[in-house]
Amino acid sequence: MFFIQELEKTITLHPSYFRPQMRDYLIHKLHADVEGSCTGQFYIICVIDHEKITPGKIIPGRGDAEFTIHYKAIVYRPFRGETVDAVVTSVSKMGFFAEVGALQCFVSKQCIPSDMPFDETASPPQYSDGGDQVITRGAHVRMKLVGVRSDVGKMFATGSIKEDYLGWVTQLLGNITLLPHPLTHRVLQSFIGRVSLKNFVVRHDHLFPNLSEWS
Amino acid sequence: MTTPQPPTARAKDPITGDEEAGKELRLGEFTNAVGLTLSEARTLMSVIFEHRREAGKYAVPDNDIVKKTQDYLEVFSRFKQQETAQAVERILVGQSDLSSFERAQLGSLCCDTAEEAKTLIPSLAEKRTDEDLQDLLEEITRLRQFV
Repeated sequence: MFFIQELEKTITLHPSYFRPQMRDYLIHKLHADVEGSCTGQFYIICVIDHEKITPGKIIPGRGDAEFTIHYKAIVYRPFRGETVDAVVTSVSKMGFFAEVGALQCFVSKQCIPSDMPFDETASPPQYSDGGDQVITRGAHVRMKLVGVRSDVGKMFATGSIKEDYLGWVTQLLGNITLLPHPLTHRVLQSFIGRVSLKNFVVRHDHLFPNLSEWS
Repeated sequence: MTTPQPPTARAKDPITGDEEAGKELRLGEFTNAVGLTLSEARTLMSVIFEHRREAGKYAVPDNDIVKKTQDYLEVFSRFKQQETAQAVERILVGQSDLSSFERAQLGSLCCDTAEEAKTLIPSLAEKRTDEDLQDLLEEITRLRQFV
């Protein structure tokens, strides 16, 4: 889940950087070092603002100065037991890989319900229940994270879709949620494209109270 | 009245490794952090990067992790309009008995029924009755209706 977290970073500057734009350079270096990095526990996505930069402390014996910057950042920290939406990147008979932003997750076959078997013959390979629910590359799934492992600079997670309300979810294009009106129904049909209209309607049936009246 | 003793040993590091967000929220160092729904994170990031581009002073990050996160947020954030996003925020901020994590999950997952919400966010099970939760979910769902 995304959080706003207060963090601090110590940056050491060579004396050649001691000039009027030193603070700007420090912030620039902070952004370059920290944004898009992974601490092993969480990903730092974006620095919001720096609150305090300590005065530089000259390191004895060297000319370098050490600054500690206190800043706030948007971070992504996955938790065990958290429900997340993910995009499937690859499917195999052992399970499928999905990505939650920068975090890669693996859902093994044991964590996929038995009514969605692996269909080797289909192209592309997919887990399918024979109906609308097809887990293949590019599909959206809702999963619960079962384990989180950290590595240097990366994190991996394992997930499960075996519980209620988990698994394949309809892809919503943008934020279309419409006033139930016959004209919008036709607009929706042309809009949705590859997503099956029936599936969209079934999942959002509270939007279409007068469905039986439409042609 | 005794004066507090100065510490006689170094404080132990907090135990990590058993954080989880199951029936009981154990978030470790994130217990008091502000949770963001996907829509809020997307809005905040785009505002910050827009500001940086305009000011011209600091660069917008150009790496894989940030790009992947932005694409992910673009796909899965439900409330892209500023008014609806703010309205959802106002509704969620009003729920003071729920933790920041639970509020952010409610705003991100957009469940239809109270049962779904309680299954996907187990720590909610004890905190709210089904009726209250259903009312809250309906308010959020209503806002999802407006593009």
